[in-house]
Amino acid sequence: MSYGFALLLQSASEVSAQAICPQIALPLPQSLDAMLIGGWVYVDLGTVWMPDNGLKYQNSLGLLLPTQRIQGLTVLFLLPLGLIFGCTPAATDSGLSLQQQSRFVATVTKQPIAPLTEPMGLTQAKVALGKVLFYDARLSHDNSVSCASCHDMNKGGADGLRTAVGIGGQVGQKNTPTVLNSSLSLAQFWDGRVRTLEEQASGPIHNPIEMGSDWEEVVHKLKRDAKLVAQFHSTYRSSIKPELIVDAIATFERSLITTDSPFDHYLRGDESAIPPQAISGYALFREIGCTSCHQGRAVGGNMFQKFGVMATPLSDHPDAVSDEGRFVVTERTEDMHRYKVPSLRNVDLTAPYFHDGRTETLADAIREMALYQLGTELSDTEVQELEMFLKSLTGKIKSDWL
Amino acid sequence: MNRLLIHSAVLAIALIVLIGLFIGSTDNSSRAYSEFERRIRSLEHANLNLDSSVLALRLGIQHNYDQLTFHETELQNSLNDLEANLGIWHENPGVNQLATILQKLGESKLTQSSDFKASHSIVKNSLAAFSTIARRLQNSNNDEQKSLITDLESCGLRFYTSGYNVDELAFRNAIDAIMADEALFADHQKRSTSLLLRHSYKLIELRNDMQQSLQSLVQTTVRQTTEQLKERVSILYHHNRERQAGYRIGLIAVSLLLFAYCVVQAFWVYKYARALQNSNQELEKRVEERTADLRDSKEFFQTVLDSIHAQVCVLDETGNIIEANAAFKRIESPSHTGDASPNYLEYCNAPEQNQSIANGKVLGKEIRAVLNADKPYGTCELNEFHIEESRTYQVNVTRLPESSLGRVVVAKSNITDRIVAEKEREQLHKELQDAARQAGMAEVAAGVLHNVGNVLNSVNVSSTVLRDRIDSSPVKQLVRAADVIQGQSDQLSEFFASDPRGEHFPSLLTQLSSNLDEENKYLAEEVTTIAKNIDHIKEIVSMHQSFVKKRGVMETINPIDLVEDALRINEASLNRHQVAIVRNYGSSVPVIPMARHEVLQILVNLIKNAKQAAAETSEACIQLIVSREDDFVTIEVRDNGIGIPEHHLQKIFCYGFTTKDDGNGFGLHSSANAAREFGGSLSAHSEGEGTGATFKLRLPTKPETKEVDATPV
Repeated sequence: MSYGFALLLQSASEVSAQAICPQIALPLPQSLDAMLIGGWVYVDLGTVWMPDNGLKYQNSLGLLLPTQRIQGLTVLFLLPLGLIFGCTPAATDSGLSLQQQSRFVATVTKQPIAPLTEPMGLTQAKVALGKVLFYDARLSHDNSVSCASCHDMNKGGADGLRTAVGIGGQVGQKNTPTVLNSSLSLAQFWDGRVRTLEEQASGPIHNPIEMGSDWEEVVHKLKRDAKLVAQFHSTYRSSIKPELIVDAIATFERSLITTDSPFDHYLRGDESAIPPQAISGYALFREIGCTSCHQGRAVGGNMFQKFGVMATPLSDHPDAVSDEGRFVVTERTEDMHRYKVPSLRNVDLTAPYFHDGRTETLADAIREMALYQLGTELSDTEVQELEMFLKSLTGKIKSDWL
Repeated sequence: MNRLLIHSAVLAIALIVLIGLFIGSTDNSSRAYSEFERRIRSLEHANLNLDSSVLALRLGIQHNYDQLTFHETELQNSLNDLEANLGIWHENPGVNQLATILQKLGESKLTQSSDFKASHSIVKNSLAAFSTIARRLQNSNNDEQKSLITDLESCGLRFYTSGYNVDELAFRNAIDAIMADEALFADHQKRSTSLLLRHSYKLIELRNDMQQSLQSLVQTTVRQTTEQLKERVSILYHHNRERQAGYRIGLIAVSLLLFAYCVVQAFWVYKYARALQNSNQELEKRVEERTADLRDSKEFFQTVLDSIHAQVCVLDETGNIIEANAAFKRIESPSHTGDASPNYLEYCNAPEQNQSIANGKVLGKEIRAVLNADKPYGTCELNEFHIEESRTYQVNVTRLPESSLGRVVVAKSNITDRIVAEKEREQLHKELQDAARQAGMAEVAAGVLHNVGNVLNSVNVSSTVLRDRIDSSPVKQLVRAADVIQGQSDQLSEFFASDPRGEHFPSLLTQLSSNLDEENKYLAEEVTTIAKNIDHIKEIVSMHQSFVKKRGVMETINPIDLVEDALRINEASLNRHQVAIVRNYGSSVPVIPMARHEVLQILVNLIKNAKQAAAETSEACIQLIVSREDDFVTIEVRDNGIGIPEHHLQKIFCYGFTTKDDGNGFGLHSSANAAREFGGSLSAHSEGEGTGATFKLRLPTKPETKEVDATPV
């Protein structure tokens, strides 16, 4: 009866129990939340429909006594009372959007790789403004470098250089990661020193060898552009502010999801979407253990892993600089040499490879990875097959990003 | 006033208290609490989901780390969210401490999760590779090696599953066994074998690390700490709620009190309103009465005004007529009494349109001056020419006190008749004056004649006495004696010697001479008296002559002497009537300057009157009192005669008043006039008929020189 009651409540809610349950269901959670229509009253029913286990019910109505034991049915009678007295307008959402939940559902699959879906819920005005700013060189000190200078859409969202080049031709220490699908990463930068795109965006602006500017200067320069000011006002109902610049750029970056890759079509059931070589490459990719790290929607980007699990790649490269990886950020010995596992989406476009751009070609990168991470040496055929597979991950770069 | 203050104070205090209670009872924590609960729940969700994801990965249900990464992000966001939005509970140190602990635990959990991912992926990969390679080697080797590899595989799997030391030891032994086997390191499979062993070592190296991460991740007390935080905030929240409930009760109580207060006040107000209504009605009644009175009095005054012949109108400050009486309405041109309240000032100032007014501008100026409060009233004369006659008006302009009824009153009265009458009166006056002059002359003549008559009386008496004396004079005897002697002139000596008659001659002659001498003396005395009286008559005449020109000569004399003179003048008649004279002269009577004859005349008159009044009574007596009173000398002539009745007293000094059959009513009148001219006075006093009378003459010690009208009377 209790469970039926829960479903009764939930069917009235926006949150579908069916959407949550397969995802979180196993093992069954200790508590479930229910939410009434319109999200007016949010009742923690987890302790309610198991009335015999002696758990105390913490009401969220404010009308009920804090430690009162409530039978499930009583709640039904008391709920309207709570609404009438209106003591506690409760939370308005469950913390999970439908979009997020549907994303879970999509990932419940035997495949280690999931197809990409179009980003949802982005404000088009912000995306448009973010794009303008993304291409705006005034964000740099000498008006020579924009975001797009290094994150060239035509070069897979990166610069094609071994390490980044900033204002005045200064050369950085790290290879430029692609901006494409960057929102799918668990953190930004090779060492994952920031979590969000917003935090990332202000990094290069202040980096003296990248854009070498600061917010005061940037805002000052941008405010002279009446058109831009107007666009800001229409988008944010506000003047130009650093946090808004960052928000717009980050929103634009979130829209940069390269869907429609051949491999995604394959995953969705179109066997002919990729050549047979790529299919066997995918099998090999899984078999030799690449999917240990390169999995998920972005084929990577969701974990930190040591560079050189089965072999040490560091000593045999003379130009190696700052290979401490995430240790720089966390200062934990466990994080020594750990880097964010990069997404392999569009990997064909983003040569050279690795954090220091040490490797020019994809084939070499495949070989190095197999050697250092998996401790195995691949045949040329295998490398070719893997290469074909990786190339099938290249998605569509939309014209309106350019 | 006091009552109002008290009410205001009570209401203000109640209001302040109510506002205070209301603010106190405001539910400022429910929303924050629900927000907090939502965040806590979201945190719990993320935490739980993270645990589930990790377990799902560990159990091999999940095949990628997207979900775990998502929950990591979610947990991180929830933690940040909670940290940044502790709201009103941020100030509580316990909450703050718990939140900090929670933050640390969460971060540690996330680190563990990250570590778990790293080691898990490798372990999973190594396990997979381990199995794959082992199967491959099994297939390509003979039984001995196969069993070794099978043993390794089973030991490895067992170790992976349990993680026990025993299993690890067995796994290591199996590895050692393989390493000891040379066949497996033959060239064709050396790489595979060594990779197998490397994966095996990787398993040994990381399996427990992974397990460690997993366990510490699951055991991290995020949930418990969250519960604690929730409990603590809940307690705070409910304390808040209880306090608010207290305030609410207070609010209701104060509201009820205020309501009761208002009800009581309303009751009183109702009562007062009733009383007020009653008194209002009474007042209204009285006002009605007053209004009626006012109306009556207005009618009365209007009637009075209308009955006045003068034309009266009331002007406002601009000169518009706002009230007028009937005469005004009747006489003035109808165009100035219309309903439109025409402007009288303009009327006055526009003579060309009203040619009947000769000097309207003067009136206009007067009205303007009074209107401007330059003066309180004004007056002028106005000439109007009408068809048949010319009229003269006197116009009075009077300023009214500040009132809504008007500013000035213009009263216009026709004085044409009065002017005519005045002219007539002037004529009359002139005639009267002439008559008065004649009468005055008659009066003077009468006065002179009277005074002279009085004196002549004495002269007459004296002459009669003289004639009597002369008639009885012994001169005849002397003549006879002389004749005798003449007859005996030749024998005088014999005659004297022998004749008997001659013998008597010496004694006769002696007798005769003494008689004659006596008579001579007497006659001389009488003649002196007559001469004195004649002199007096002369004085009177000359005095009256001098009246025309100037006052009589001022002489400085003793009033007592003057009284004596007066007595002397009346001596004869006094003696005749046997009137006793009592002299009562003050000791310090000063010598004063006076017109001797006039004062004497007054005194003579008074004494004569007194004598006449007293003569008819027995024991007639006249008392003469001379005394000094400040700057005056008073001479009182008091008789015990018939007295004066009171109604006579008032007119006793009037011209022509007399009680005597032969009187002309002039004596006292002229006496009083004369006394006034000296600067003194003459007054009469009597207790009534039969009580005698007192006449009092007051003479100034320092008479002022009075300019006398030089016109002949």
